[in-house]
Amino acid sequence: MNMTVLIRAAVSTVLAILMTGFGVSAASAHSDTFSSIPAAGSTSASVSQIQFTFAEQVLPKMSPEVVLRNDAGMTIATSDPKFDITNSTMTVTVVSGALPNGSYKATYRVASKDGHTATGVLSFTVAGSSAAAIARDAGSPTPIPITIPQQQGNDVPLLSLILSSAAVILILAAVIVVIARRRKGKF
Amino acid sequence: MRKSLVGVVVLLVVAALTACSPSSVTPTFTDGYIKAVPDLAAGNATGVFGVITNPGSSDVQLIGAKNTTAGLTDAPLEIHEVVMKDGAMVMQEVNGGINIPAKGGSVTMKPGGYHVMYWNLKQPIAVGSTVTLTLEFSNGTKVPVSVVARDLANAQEKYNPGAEASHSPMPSMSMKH
Amino acid sequence: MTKPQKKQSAATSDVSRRTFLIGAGATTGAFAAGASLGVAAASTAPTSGSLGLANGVVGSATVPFYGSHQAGIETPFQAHGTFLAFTVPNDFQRTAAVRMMTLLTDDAARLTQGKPALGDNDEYLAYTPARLTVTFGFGPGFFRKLGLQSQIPTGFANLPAFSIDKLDPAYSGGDLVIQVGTDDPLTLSHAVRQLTRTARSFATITWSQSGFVRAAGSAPATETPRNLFGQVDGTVNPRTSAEFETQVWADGSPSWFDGGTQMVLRRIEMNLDTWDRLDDGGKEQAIGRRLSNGAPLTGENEFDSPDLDAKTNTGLPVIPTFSHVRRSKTDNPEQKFLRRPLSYDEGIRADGTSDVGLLFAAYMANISTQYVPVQQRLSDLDLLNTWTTPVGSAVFAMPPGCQPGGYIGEGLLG
Repeated sequence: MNMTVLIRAAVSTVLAILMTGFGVSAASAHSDTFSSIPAAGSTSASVSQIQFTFAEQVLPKMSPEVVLRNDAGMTIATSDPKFDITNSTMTVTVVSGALPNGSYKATYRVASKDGHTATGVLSFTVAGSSAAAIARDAGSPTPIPITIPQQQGNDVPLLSLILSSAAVILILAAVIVVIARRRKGKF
Repeated sequence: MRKSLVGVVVLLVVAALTACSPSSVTPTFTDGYIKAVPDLAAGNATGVFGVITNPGSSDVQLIGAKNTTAGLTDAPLEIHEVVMKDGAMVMQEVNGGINIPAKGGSVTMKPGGYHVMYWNLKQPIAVGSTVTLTLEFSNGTKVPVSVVARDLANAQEKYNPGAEASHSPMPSMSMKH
Repeated sequence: MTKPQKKQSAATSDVSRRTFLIGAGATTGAFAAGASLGVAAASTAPTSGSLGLANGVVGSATVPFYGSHQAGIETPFQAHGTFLAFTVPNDFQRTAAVRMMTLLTDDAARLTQGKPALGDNDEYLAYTPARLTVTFGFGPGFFRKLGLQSQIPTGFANLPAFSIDKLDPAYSGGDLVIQVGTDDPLTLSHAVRQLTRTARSFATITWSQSGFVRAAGSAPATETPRNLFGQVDGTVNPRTSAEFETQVWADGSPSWFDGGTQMVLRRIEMNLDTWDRLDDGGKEQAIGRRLSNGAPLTGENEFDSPDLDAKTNTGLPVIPTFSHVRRSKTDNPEQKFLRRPLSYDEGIRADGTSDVGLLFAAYMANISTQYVPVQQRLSDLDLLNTWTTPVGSAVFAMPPGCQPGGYIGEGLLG
């Protein structure tokens, strides 16, 4: 058997677990359907606002929520979301101006026009910014996460992240064992 | 000799008293009502209904009634029953009155059955108003009662022309509202 | 309060005492019917056989009519109910109003005890009261037409217009309301007909709205019922006598109204055909509670207090900002009231959609201070509005109870 194929299979399995397991139900899969500025996974020098464009119309009156956090877990204050005329594009501005260097996660939860709750996470990086680092007390302290059993349709809770990480480790370990055995000619 | 005479006299008096008034227990009347007649153009007769109970030791009959509501009617009230004649229900006076069995027996006067009949009303009877009359029983007792006027939608009863009457007979006595 | 397991006999009086001690001053209160049992008691509830359902215990049960409060408010949910509204003439006279309420009170006093009304059109339908209650109320027009504006209870007025309203006059307004509730639908039909026949000599029918909760005995009496969204509906409610005294029963103002309450009745149309497109998670996000047992999303059990400050690990509030439970929750004791709703189901429309919803009946001492702020908050923002439309709205002042020989509303009309 081809080792590359094996490794690819293992990685795909891991990704599948992360994507579909533990609380990300099929009905909220559409929540991942957005384009954004900054784009997901991108690196920019200057970010002072975040714009999401959704595949579906949103109900702007239904208190859309956005939580922006840096890699230290601090919540960075953002303005109330504003919408364009189609109600498909939502923009929040960073209250303190441009973001300093670092990696960020912006989590949103909105109500789609048909009442579905849509939620998702936008990850992006800022590099080459001249903005000063945000002092610890400029944002909110990291709150203690709540364990929520049977949570459906929401962002992946911490417990499931731990479990899926454990699964990743086990699968990688299995792959390593298989590879080692093959090298020893046990197959 | 005198003692036995006195004893006989006492016995005779007691016998006479008990023979003349076998029971003077007053029957009771509850759950009474009268069919309302809001508009005399629709008819000028109506009926009183309710439950008569006889706690006495002997049967007693409801033999008559007198209206005590000023100006309501000049015609005498009658005690009526409803019987089947020639396939139709007709009402007529009850010969001998309505018998109320002794020892707690009761009779319910209700549409389609016994009732106290009011003829020739001179005033309408509004729903919710009160009418007073006195029920008269065979044992000499008289019971004043107060009945509330209700809107009824019960079966029509035809007046029986064959029965004796001291007033103008109504060819088709409609009890329908 | 004794527990249901002890009620093995079919004796009517046992059932009556267990659940329907109105005004008895028991700390747990009649509405709770043994609230100390809580949801946990469901697993030990007796089967229908041991309750003696085969012996007609449901049909013979009665709720006392006379008392300091009218029955039908603190009374635990009945299986079926109808609200009847009437319009009185513009020149309605007090003497006519007295007659009307005297007759209606007499009908109610008899029928609720399993006896025919005077001149009853069918006495045989009167013999299974099945916890029948008949409750009366006066709309704003009643006071106005009788020239009794000075006697209008404090805070009692028609509701302001809400942006979510799409009100149909066919389900709105009314000068007089008669609320009928019972566990037996035959009894309901008969009582409604009898009361209507009495009232029609004085007033014309405005509308009639009927609904249901669930069959008697289908669940423990303490279990909060569900509405047609599948939602456990009625968790936050007064249950003890003390809570009823504070939230529901008016304390004078004016004095004839002491012991009465103000009722809001809104017909809420539910769009189940679009609601059904949500999965359970989506529904729970909109409500803010679990479907399984009505627990808030931050808790485990139905009566856990929702923690509005709790956040997920990404910082979003666990109970969404738009969720119904967040929008309706209040720590302001002034904004609590009794919700005693019925579901309605008028069947499938010609286009295949369901004509269903909620007869939202709420009772409080003062509509303006207790109800209006909450309804305003919900009208402004509540994701549940996506699937609901208020199509009817009415308010009524429910007088205090009466004693034998009296009539409902005597304090106002006498």
